[in-house]
Amino acid sequence: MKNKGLDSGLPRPDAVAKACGKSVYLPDLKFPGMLHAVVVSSPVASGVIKKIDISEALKVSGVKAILTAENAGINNKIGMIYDDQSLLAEDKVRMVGDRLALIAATSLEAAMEARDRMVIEIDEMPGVYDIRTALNDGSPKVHESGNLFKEFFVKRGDFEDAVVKADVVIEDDYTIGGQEHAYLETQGTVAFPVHDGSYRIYSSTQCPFYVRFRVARMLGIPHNMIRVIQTVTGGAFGGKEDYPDEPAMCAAALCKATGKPVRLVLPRVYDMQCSTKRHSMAIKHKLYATKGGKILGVKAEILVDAGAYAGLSTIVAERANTSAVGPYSIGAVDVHTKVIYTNNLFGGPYRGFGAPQVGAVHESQIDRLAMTVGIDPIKIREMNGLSRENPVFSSGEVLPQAHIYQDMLKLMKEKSNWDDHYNAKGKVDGYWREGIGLGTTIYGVNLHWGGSRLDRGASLVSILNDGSVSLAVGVTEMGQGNLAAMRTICANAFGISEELIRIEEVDTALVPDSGPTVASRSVMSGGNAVIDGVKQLNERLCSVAAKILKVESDTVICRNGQFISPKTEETTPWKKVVEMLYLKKINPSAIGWYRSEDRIYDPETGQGRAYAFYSFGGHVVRLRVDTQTGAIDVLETTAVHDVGQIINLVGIEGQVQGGTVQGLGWAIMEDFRMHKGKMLNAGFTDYSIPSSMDVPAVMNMAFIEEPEPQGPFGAKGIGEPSFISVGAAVLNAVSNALGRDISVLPLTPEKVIEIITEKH
Amino acid sequence: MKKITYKLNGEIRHLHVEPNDVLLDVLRDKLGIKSPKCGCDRGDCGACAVLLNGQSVRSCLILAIECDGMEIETVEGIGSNGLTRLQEKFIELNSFQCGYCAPGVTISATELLRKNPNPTMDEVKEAIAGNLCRCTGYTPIIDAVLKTAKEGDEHGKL
Ligand code: FES
Ligand code: FES
Repeated sequence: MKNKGLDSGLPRPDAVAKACGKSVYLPDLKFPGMLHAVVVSSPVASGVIKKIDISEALKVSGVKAILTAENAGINNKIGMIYDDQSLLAEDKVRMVGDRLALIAATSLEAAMEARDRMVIEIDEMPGVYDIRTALNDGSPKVHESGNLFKEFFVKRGDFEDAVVKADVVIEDDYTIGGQEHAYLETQGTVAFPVHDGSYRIYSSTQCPFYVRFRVARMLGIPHNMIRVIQTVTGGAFGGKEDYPDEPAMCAAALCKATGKPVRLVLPRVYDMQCSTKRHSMAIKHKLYATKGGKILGVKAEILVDAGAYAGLSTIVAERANTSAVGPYSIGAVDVHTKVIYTNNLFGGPYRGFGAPQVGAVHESQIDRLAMTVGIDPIKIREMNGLSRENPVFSSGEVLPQAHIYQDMLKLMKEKSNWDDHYNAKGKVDGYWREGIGLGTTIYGVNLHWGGSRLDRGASLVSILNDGSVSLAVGVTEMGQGNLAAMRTICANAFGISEELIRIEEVDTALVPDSGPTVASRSVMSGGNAVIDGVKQLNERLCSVAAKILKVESDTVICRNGQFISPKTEETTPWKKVVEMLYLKKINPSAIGWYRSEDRIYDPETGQGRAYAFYSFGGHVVRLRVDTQTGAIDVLETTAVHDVGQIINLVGIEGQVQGGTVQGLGWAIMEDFRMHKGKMLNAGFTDYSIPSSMDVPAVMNMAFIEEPEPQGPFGAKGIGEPSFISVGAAVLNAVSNALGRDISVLPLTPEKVIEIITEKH
Repeated sequence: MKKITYKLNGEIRHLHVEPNDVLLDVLRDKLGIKSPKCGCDRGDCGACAVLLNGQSVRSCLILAIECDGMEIETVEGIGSNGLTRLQEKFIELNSFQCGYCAPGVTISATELLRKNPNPTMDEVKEAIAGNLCRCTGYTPIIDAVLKTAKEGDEHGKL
């Protein structure tokens, strides 16, 4: 079956501007009198501040303000959810990059010169750099309250019984690395003072409503004094969920101090060191199974390296916790997730939100079980995976979508020619060994129960006098194709051409707070909000059209820009109906709203409705490993995704291609080289991400389109699932090629050589 | 300050620069040419690429003064007579997502197609190997370049 989207085939709304280099990104903005800001930050990850002397720096010509915790005059406690973080460090520093001072000057050069003239003394203190020993007695404490910040659990079934009945136990302690988002446009913001004392904030962000909330709170002014406009955003991947608030707050504080527009664009090396990252995790995982390969119980302990501040780590950990078992239906589950403070990199949201890390582990574990009991890896997933017969997820939910997992496995097997390649595993060609592996995932679309109060979305749909439509939404475009999806949904809901619709830039003054654009929820929450707005307008339009057609209003519908009475088959065009709408002074705008259903969930046991609904995704990776150099050459990838109704086919394909390559980067190339909390390889020179030379020769894709009742027109989300199981598939493929158990990601050449030379 | 001259997108431009002014900054801040982007400021990402006497260079690594008397072409110039066929293909194939890499990619691919109207897949990959793109996985970009070459143009127009 050939997949087809609901879209009309028009290029995405931003395609022409982007291809012509005309899109205006944050660094392209310029305002008269605009000042340039730099951050003065801590070079050490743990220490006590002895002295911050700004007097020499103030003498640099062009410097307009230097703010420290002492003189900033702001609400300095700025944590995202928990107030454990300061905008400007007060007495201690807890991570490399903690802000000591902010400088604004008439030129970037002057600001940088002032930074060089600051006199800073910090007494370095012992820090916490190893997540496995962070909770030991005697470990230094990142915060007074101790290093264990928060815990999450899944407790289900009779675990002791599973232990007693098991013939086989598969167990290991995995080390899964983090990842830098490496969006091509670094973080940046401009804070602009408005004449009435309010502020306009331009931000490269996924979540303008977060920016509004945090800037207002920091300045101590009402939310209506802050208007946030999202500029065209040069990639985000989760890295521009909460972190953009920090540069925005810096610029806003300086804007308040100087009364001038202030621009802060983070240099790449600083951005890589200081902004949030995919969490590194240490995961102990135990599978209890019968010798026939049936999994009876899963026990997992997940240590999440949050870095020095909570940020959104608890939210990421919550997803990791719920995802730890994978797409399997297992009677007994005992998962314990710990969010731990360290002085390492700042953990935060990144495409997949903890699911890729635990995914690499549950998928490695089930492969090892397959090997141990002598069953094919796909077969063992068929046996243990969610299905119509076994539809209960680890949250205790009976999933109406459970059977899709089985459909997906079939498609993965077929599209990857699994049987042929799996039987040729370990194929030798000189130093090269070939291998194939798969990874599968279950993904809760939308926010976890813990964040479900934010599960809302808004639209403002306005029909203008000439029949064109202005659409504003609260979910953002960051490259993923949200504009195109919203336009398609709007056009289909109205029954008009996409060409009539223009989408406004996201502006917090235009639409109600729509929550964050994360968790692959933009189509779901934005799309449903658009449909709701259109529905309200359709009622008004249809009643007008009915009068023109002289029929009952509830019989009229709009298709292809014509209002039709199915009874009389008479039509009247969209434009005429809009004209009449205006003549009759009927409100031509509507605010659409979406809210997810309330759900019940018990955080002590992880039982209940964790997510609104679920989707499945899987990758097969075929690769070869150079046993001499440790290099990995990816030959072929196959991605299968359960996406519901496709809104925009090229958009979905783009997500899958991009997600796959980004996943390969995480699994093979991208490694943090750390020393006492400092990233030694910050910058693209030493932190390599995939280039065009790293693209696999063959990338297959297939989609399962079973409409999801809660999604707009039956659509699900794809942004994150496109990434999640790539790492797992790579890990399993390398293990398959080398015939070794592997318990670490990323598999850089050095790691591969280590694995090869390790004694059994 | 030294007075220098560029032929920028076909137009003669005179300007004053400091000896340590970087070409990328001069283009963006003094000449109003915003298509070259800064992605790393040290030669790693290719977002700042421009054509200097027909060769693609990373403008973040070059001093403005070194280019005195030279011809500089940016995406503003490449697309000044309407979309090129390459740009049309980029649009048709959804080649860009966030688009931040697009100007740099366009420079590298244009240079390739001008010098080698019938590149192989490997040649395309090599030509854009210095342009990082975090969003697309490169496939739709590579496909667009290959398709532009394959469909050709009787007037040799790109
Ligand atoms: S900005 Fe010049 S190569 Fe990255
Ligand atoms: S499209 Fe985002 S970096 Fe290329």
